[in-house]
Amino acid sequence: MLERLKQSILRCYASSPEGRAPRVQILDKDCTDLEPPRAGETLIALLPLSAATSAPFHSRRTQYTDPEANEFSQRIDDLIRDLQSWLVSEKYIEDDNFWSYDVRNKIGQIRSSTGDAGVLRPGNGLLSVSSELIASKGHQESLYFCFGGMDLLLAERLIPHGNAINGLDDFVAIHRSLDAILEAIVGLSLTVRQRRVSSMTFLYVHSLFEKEKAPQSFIDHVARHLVHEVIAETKVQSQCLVFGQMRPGSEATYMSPNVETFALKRCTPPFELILSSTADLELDDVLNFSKRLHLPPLSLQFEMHVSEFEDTSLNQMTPLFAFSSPIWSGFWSTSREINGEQVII
Amino acid sequence: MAVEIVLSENQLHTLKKNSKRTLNNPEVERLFGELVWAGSALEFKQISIFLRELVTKGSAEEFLCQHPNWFDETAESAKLVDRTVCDFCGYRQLCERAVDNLSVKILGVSMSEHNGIPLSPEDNQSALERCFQGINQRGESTVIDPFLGFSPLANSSRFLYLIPYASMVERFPDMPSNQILHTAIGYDLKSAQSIWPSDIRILQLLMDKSVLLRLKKSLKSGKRVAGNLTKLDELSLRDIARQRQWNMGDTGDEFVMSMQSMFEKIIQVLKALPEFKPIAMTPMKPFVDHPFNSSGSGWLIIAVRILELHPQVLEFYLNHHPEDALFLNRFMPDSFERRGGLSVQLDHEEQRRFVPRFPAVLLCSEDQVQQVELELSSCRVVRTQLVSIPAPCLLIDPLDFDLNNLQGWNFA
Repeated sequence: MLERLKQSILRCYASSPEGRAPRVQILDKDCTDLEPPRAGETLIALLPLSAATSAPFHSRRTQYTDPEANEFSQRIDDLIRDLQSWLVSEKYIEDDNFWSYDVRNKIGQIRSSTGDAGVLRPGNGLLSVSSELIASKGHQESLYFCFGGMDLLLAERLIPHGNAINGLDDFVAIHRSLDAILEAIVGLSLTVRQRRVSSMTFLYVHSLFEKEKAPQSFIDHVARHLVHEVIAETKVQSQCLVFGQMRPGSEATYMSPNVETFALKRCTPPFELILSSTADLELDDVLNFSKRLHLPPLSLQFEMHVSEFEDTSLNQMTPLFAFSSPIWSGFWSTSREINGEQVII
Repeated sequence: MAVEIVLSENQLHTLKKNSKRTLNNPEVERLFGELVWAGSALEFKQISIFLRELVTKGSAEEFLCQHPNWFDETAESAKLVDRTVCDFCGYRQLCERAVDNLSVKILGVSMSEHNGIPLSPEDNQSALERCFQGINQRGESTVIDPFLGFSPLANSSRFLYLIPYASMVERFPDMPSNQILHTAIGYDLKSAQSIWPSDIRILQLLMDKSVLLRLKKSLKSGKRVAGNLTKLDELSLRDIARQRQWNMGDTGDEFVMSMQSMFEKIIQVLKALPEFKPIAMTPMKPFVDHPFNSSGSGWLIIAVRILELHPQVLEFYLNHHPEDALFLNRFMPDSFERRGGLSVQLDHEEQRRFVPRFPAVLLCSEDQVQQVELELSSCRVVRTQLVSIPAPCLLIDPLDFDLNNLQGWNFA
């Protein structure tokens, strides 16, 4: 099923006018390291559902071993060290240990909430820019480094009337001792601005019927749904996907308790249920679906989106379902944590 | 006895082994002592430079120093050093080369008397080794740190704990209506329940005696302003009452009126205390910043969580507003007594009241998976290892907490 889904996803991208082919990789459940997406690349990793028991481990590990992110961290560290040396030499600080911890923590917060680009965005608590209108010349702008209630002037620039300047371009350090620091800040800013966004999706897939039984059109429809509604959504995400037959009127569970049903405990709402047809189905078949698939017990206030694939040729066969749900992967939007530490912004 | 696992995930794997030298110069010892007591960063740096010069004499010259700029050297003039030089480097902890020879020691502990026998890490060594097993892109086996991204101490030498799953569940009971624990960030030992990001900020204020005193004083006095609850808050409050099964799930008109009247009063009081405003004004995401599927105002969430995290406030309120006590006597039935009877004795105000939600690797056999959960009130399972083991257990990264000596932790 993983191979068929991979082909369907690739076909879906190929038929899309703006679609750039993603890298789709089928992984073994024990695989712990995969090559992170390159700049601008979409990576889709297909794994068996049983591997979802370790889903947070997979997603965070891939993110934290990404050389691009590590390189950025290294450059930020170098910048902090340069700033630290300058602050010590200018006698702004004596004990640099706390300062360093404080600034790193602040950068960690910014990166987790607004990404790398946020670190160098003026007004984020680390850098600020003030602008003064000089009628005869244009806008005189000053770049400050902010910490401990102080705003330290680093550089200045003049934007003549009618000119436009990108980002931190054209700033000139107010003193030669700040040249290297300013160069590092502007260089980092440029790198971030030019970087193309990549995305990474972990799909944990399980099929309750033999792969030959699944009509290609239905799998293609599910792949389209994934590509348009799931994969494009965020930078890193995990999703589970289960294919099966509805068995109208039956109250039996879709599978007996096993590692796959255990893995389904990772599912979090909103749930998505795609049906190949609704022929022969009663309302109870849909209402009891969660229970029969061993999904976490949820109250009615949670949403389950149900949709039907409009292909009349499938009306003759037992209705099939494709169930999908997000899996918690522990990033800022759903955790308010950085590297295991709760952070208050 | 502990099991020690050496991690191979470091950047020094190409270094020659057995390259350490013996240093007999007493000056090294003296400078090392001075380094510890350095009064400023500048002094620290100067001593580090002296020490490095001394230790570099007789160096095996294996590789270039990674950070010559820390010693006021240029990249071109970087010195060739060996591992002994790195061992005595003042900036060792900041240097990525220091990750050489990482190892984690695993200790067996238990969290409750009933499930009190700690699992012996030695007896489960092969199962534990599986937790650190990785397969790289070439299909080769590696040893990795499973807590990378979940612990700031990942990829550094430290202690981990092997704890029976059942003892963790027993030791950290939770409110049954906390259904979604993915986003909980810690555990409040005093009220025995999971806590969410906004709770930390509320608890920090409640632990401030003067704030708590002013809150109680205001609750005691002052007249209530009717209609203080917005329509959205009213609906949200009903949702929360249903989720929490307040009043045993019976939401009759009288109870709802009384409940609304109490929250009107509490919100009115909170709005007069400026300390709570920043929390109330912070956007809150349902099930992420707090445990409710509610889109009510921040004020409502603070009011509800104050009563849940510090039920004495409710008790205090009802003592001074007996007219509400008539209907609210069955409010939050299990909040006054800490769940599970495993209350902690926090004698002093300064003692730690909450702990983070520890990341854990679950070890269990295929037959045991139906007995366990992936999200617990006190820890989150980030990785699962199916191994042959007598009972499910958790390998926990303590996030720099000494679990053996945590106040109020053991058999309180």
